[in-house]
Amino acid sequence: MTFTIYELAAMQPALLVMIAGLLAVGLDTFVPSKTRIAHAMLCGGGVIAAMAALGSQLYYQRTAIHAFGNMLVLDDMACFLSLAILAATGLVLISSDADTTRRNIGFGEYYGLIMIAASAMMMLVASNDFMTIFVNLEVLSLALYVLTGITRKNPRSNEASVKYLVSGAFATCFFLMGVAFLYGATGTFALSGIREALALGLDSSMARVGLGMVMVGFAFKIGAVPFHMWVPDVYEGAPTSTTAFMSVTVKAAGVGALIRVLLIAAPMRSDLWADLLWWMAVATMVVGNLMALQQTSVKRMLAFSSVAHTGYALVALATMRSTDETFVPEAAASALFYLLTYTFMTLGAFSFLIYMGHELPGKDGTSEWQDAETLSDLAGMADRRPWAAAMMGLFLLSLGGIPPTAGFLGKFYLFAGAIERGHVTIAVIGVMASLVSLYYYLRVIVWMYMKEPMIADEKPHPSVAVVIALAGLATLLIGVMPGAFIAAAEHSIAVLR
Amino acid sequence: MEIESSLYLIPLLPLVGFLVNGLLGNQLPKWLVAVIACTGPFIAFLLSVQALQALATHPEGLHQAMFSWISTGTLNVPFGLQVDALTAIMLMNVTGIGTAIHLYSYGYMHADPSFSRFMAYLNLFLAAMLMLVMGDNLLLLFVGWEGVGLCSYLLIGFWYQDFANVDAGRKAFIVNRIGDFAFLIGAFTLYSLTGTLEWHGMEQAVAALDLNAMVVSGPMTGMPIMVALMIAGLCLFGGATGKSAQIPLYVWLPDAMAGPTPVSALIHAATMVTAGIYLLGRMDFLFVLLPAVMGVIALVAACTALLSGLIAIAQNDIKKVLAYSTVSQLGFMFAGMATGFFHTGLFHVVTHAFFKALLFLGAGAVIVAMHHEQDIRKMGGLWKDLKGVSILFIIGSLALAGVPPFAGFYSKDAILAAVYYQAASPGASPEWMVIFGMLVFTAGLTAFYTTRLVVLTFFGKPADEHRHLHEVHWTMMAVLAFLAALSALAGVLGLGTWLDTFTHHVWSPPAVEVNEALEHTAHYVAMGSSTAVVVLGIGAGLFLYLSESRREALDRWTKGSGARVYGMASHKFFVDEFYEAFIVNPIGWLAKLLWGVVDRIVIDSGIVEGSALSVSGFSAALRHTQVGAVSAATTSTLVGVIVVVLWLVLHG
Repeated sequence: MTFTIYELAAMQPALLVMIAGLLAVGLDTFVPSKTRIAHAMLCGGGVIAAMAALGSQLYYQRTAIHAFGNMLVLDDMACFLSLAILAATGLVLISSDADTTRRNIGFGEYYGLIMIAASAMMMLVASNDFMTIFVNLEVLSLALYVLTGITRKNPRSNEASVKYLVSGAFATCFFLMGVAFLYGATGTFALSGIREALALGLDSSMARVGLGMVMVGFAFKIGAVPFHMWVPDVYEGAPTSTTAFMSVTVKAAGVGALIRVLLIAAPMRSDLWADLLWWMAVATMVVGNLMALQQTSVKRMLAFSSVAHTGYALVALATMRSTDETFVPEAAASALFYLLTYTFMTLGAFSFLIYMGHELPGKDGTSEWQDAETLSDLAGMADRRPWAAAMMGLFLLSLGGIPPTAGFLGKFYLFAGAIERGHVTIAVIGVMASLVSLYYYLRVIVWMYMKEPMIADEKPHPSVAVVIALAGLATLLIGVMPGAFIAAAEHSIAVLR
Repeated sequence: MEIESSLYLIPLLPLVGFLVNGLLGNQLPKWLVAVIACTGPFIAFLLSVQALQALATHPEGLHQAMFSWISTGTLNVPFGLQVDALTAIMLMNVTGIGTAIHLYSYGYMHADPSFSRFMAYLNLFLAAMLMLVMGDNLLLLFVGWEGVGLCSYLLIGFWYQDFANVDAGRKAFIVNRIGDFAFLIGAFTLYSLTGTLEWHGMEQAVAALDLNAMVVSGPMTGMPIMVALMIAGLCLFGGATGKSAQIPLYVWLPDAMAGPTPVSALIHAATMVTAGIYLLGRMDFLFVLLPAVMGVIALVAACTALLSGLIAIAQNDIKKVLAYSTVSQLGFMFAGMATGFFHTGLFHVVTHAFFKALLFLGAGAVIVAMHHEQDIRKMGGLWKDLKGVSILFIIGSLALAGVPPFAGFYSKDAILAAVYYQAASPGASPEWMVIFGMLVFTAGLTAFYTTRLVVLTFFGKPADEHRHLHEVHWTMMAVLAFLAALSALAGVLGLGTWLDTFTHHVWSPPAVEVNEALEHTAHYVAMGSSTAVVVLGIGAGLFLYLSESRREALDRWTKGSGARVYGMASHKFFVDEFYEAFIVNPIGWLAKLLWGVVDRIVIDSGIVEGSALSVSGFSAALRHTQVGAVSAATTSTLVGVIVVVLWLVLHG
């Protein structure tokens, strides 16, 4: 296969991130392991350069770039999601400063793996072909398996990594088998090719099984019920900055890729997959919220809450087919917007747990770092740290969907759209589920504001404060002025058709 | 116009106060915190007065468009503030009484270690409440609606050392969310009918609807438009029952009394709880089209008024009595709104804010004097030691009881007259007469329990002869005197008539025809019957509670043969227990069940063990890392895959 240099432009933002990440790993050989300025500048520079490249693509270039025989396409949706992923990556890089210094993790490894995962996700949302989708999904997953287990001396972290690897491999099998079935039915890996073949009447049960298994693969990655069982253990065991990273970016990338597959490869069979997603969304919202109700660990609660939020995002996909049988692909825009709001509030909430970390005396005289995890770690801290507590309160209210935060608008836009398309039942279930969710989000606020302090030895990490502030700002900004963001999301979907 | 372009300052100033006090208050001296906290609301009050005056020359209302909040292809919501006659009245109430209560709070709370946090919450509440009444669309109202709910929650749980308070706060929040759920459904429904959320746009769109037609698009396709509007109206009223404490969602308000007393006065009596009334007034164009819904509202309101009036008789906590009386008076306001004579409900909102704030703040003064004792059986004879507070409290009580010429008499009378007018209009549905009867009876009950409260608190023998009363701070007395003057004089000075003319052009005309003769009859019937029941109620109260021996006899009766009847009322008719058993517990069970199923059954059971064999290659290697959890994950995935594949193959 031949390609022109011009086609490389489609990969350029992802390549910048990838190169920065690889160089960061290499840097470990040359600079003393205690200095992190070189790593930070390299990776930060990579993220900023990639954002600039995406910005120029969005505002100056404007036409989508199809590259490598249409295996990759850098269109508005890819740019929108890549920017969200990069924003999250940038914030995680800053907050992982705490994890790496506190736990003695090599900067090169940690930053490098995050950058590699980010670049794989950027290419995933730009993938127009099952070949590229699969490769990027695997690169991303491998990086995450390692990141989850990167605190080598921590058994919880190791265990989480192995669990993730095993169950991830299991789900990958299905995904790959689904791709093979689709290939068998249509003779192509290209999404547009599959659509043409299906339109020609090749709609066999083989193709349907293939589509179903591919959806299972995505559902696993984004943690939808019943493919969510790995989420709580992995999220709890991983270093908190990794948890924050995967809970937001993988969800954005996975849902984005799923939207592309459904809209480009199988729009005419929305009667099949929309009903399936309907049940999946309902189960995910209900199970995620009810399980979160039971948690006493805030980190685990946030893990289940992230499952619930996957459910909300799926509502948009499930209601793409309105009750009077018309197909409304524009509906997917509300999922994109929801994921954007979710990115900042979740990142903020997890970062807050890192911020409130404290040192535990270890066995052999050394000390061990522990992020805030239980409710009692947060008891009564509002009086000591009013700013941080106010920000955490903001994130929690936003997660619960209270105006005027981003989370409220995300839900409002989502459910209003679903009702407009006639899907009243799922909207009612969703609103009721978020009603239940308030109970456990509020519990954290109660502990922060209405309890006597139990532990007061947290040693806040200054760079995490920056992340919290930025995430808080974004949560408020999107809540008060969502216009531009919603418009961008709608535009991303509009060009996809 | 100067004021029109600075409307945004009205909610912004308290918000600034919140930010300063909330984030820096710990480092500032208390007097400075108080100055910051009181200045914002006071300037907002002055601006509101200006806005009110400006309405004389701008009867169509003031409007300041700020920016486009949400603008997409399908959904366009502006961010703008408006002041019309209805909002102006609410503004006067919120900022005027709000400022007074901020001042009082300095006296009441200045010794509290978290004083700055308290003042910050109060400021935030005010900002949210102002947003609620000033927003120019339903969604912006909802922002304020949620904001006041949040502040109410934070303030109820303010003294969190007592766990019951935290629980009460959470109860308030959750119950309100149930109301909000109905609110949102109503808002969505209305939006899909009218395509807008702005007041003016909605009013025009609703007026343009052909009520006999069917809905042609959206989720309610094929449904008669009238039915769709009724769903919207009922759901919005459902939202109002949450915030304004009506059946079935009133249960949170009495528990909310756990918060500091200024909070009870400001949020749970004078302002926030009237948000539901405001909503009805704001959506008048919708409700006048729906006589059936109005009937339901009136019936719910009358039942709430009666039920909570009965409960109030049997309460012994001074704040609980006032809380149930608030629920009861809110019922009156809703009944007034439901007649279609919206100004009567609004009038009662205003006078009730005066006298109920006075009563709560007076109760606060008593509670401070009694060293935080709230049980009226342990008070008694306070008249001798607290002359000033007693006189002011009694003025408030007379207004609440509806004794002429105090303010409460005029507003209650206006509502009763409006209800009677409805009932006696030709072709009126018979329920209105029942509603009228219930409300008149409740007016008598009000007089009775108010008398009981006053007699037990201020007269008779002191429960403890050697008590040492705490001094009442001068800022508290000043605020009490101010509110007492308003409660005594507002009616006489013709506030009701002024309100009627001032707000007349905002309301959609009521559905019933105007009949002046009937109007006069209604007026006399209402006045006559309410005066009669008030005299009866006060007489019975004095007769039963003023004499020591009769009170003891009454005590014996409530413990003996009357225990069953009295117990029903003192246990609030077991509504809380009912909700606990039929709503709260089932949700808890469901969550526990799910937890149990996943954690114990799935992971430990044979299903997993069986499937673990199928991945035995892994499980052998991973035996020590809780293989159960891993195989649970794979089992769940496997089950999911089978379901998905079967479904897709069999479906099409």
